[in-house]
Amino acid sequence: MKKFNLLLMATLLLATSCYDRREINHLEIVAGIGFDLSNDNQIEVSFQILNAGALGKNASGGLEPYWILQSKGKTTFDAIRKATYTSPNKLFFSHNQVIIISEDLAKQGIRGIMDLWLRDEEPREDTKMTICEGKAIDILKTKLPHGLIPAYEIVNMIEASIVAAYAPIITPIDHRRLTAANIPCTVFGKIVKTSETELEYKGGALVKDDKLVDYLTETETRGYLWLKCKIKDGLIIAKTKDSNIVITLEIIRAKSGFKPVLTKNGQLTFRARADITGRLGEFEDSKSIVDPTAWPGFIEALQETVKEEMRAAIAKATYNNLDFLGLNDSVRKYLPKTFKQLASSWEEIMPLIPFTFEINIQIIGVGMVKKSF
Amino acid sequence: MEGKYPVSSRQVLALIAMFILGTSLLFSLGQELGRHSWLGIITGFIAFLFLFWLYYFLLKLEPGKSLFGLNEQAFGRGLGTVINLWYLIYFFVLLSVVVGNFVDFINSVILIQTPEILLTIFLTLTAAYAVKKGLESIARLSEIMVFCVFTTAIVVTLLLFDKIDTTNFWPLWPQNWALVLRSGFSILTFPFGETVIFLSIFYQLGGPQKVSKGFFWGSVVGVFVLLVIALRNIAVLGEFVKFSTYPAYDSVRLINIARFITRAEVVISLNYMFAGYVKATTVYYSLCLGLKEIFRLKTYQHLVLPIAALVILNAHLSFSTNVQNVFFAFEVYPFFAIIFQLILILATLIMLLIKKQLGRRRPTI
Repeated sequence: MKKFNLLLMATLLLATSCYDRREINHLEIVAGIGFDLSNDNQIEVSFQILNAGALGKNASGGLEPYWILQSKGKTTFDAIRKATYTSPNKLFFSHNQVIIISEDLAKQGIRGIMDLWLRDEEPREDTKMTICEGKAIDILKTKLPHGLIPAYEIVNMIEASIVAAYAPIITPIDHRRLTAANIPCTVFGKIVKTSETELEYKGGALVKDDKLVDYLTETETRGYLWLKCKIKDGLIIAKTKDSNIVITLEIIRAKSGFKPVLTKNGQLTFRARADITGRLGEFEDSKSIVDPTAWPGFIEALQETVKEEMRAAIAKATYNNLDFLGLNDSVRKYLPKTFKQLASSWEEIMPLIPFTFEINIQIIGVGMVKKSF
Repeated sequence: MEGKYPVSSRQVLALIAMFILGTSLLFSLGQELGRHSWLGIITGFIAFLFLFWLYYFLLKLEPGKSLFGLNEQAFGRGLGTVINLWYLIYFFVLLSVVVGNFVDFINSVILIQTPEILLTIFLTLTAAYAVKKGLESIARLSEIMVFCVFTTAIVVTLLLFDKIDTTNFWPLWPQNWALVLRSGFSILTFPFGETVIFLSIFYQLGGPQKVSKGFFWGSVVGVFVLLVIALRNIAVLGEFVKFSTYPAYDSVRLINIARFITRAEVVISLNYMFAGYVKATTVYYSLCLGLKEIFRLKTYQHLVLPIAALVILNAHLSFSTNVQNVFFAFEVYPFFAIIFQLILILATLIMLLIKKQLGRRRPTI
């Protein structure tokens, strides 16, 4: 009996569970996905697929490192599955890096895509998402001058946008988190094809519920990023009032955000605040600087720039009732009692709530030059 | 095979902790509370302390007797057997639910194309094997595994440091306290109250002092890990914890340290396996033990396989989706389970106390 058991165990080892294994040469690894609206109002999906034969050390020359596949269907999943009409193998999404949604489709609604991305277990929830002007397939087809796979370069570009801080970075799980918190609008990053070999990632696209409603300008996006504490790096450019000197401040550290407060007489106000530590990056005047803070209007000018950016975002959010800043949510979080009182009339009250600003700028260095020419 | 097992107090602790973590690692406890689920867990645990005191009292009252023996002593052979059979039905349902939960999880995130019945068979048969080998092996196993589960829970939480947003916790106090209490009630019955099954095992492990020490600290470890996981899920997923089927799995999927340490969800699902296995095995074991005791059998070993067949069927047939499962766990199960976890235990206790009083008086008359 014991011998029989041992034999049974040994056989089990031979029969390990790879019966539905998928070998790498039978997979089409998707690097990037673009969603478009087709002419007959269906969903058109373009995949940028790695060409395994052209990658690696002993790659055969002449092959493109990626190829583009297109398919369409009634729903997102349908479109993705129908890709096998033309693809030699089943597509594999776990390594997908970026999702690009075209303007037209985003205007129709992206609920299907967002739902599929969280419901299915294969795609990752932390894939970067952007909305593009024009067609998504054109973005994927862009022949970037650097890198092998455009999708990977796009992701690098999106991640590098932190350095300039002119566009948000959004993933499906971020979007779901925001919608779960009843924030009606999400700001997606926007990608634009500027020429055959060039893409640009800046600005924001406002998605209300699941539809694209508006774009944010650069200033508005920047204000949004300030108020959401998403600026960690980047520049502040300002012009002093009297002497008209252009200053560029390089942000080293920044912490910003807003909070609702009740003033003594019971008035609801939002207090926006930013604590910025920076270094003088560029200074267009020939005088030597010993202490930048002593310059007349120096700090004030920088503060004014930040305030302007914040004001632009606030105006956009409150004027059109597109609460992408989560003003409503912040009241719910920090002043639950007030939230209950205001819940019914929130939409009328929101534009009237005053904002106060407190911008602290600390300059910790003037760089490696004492005096400009 | 029965009698006194050389199980240490630390092994009891591990067993209890793993049992509590069992299926609750999988689901987010108090999910309906969203950002306040931690409050639900604390409420449930505080209520459990009362249950614990009750169980401890029962253990001390009649040391060396199992739950089934106590029931017979309290209600007599006839009614006692009926109640014991009810308990066995409860254990059986619990076991099928645990197995079903795990199969559902594996089937919806890891092995999607594998037929469900196959997973059920293998999970149940491995549990059956452990049950056949006795409690000692289960206890030893859980001693190692509780360490794994504990460390992973902490390490994974630390790895998610950059995804944590503490503003998700605000407002700290919920508006709807009734829902907190309701949720606390279902957390009391699942997982804490389920430790009632240990009453049918503990008598083999030693005196009530030693056992209840392990029991108490085991549940403390369990609730600690549950709290860490709940807080981490809220901090990472925000209000989305309400809508996710497996929130812990979802949050761990987000680990991404410099695009190098990613896809840690495998570790987490391994943890689920460990804890769920220990839980299934313990319930299974007490089910066999109960059958043996009620029908006055010599050993339980020959019962293990037939029960496995029943469990496989029941686990396979009970739920069609995991959402249905969660619905059952919140809407139906608490009211079913509280009968066995509190009401019957209380009745037994009262009957025993009355009988003791009468027995003490009788000689004096």
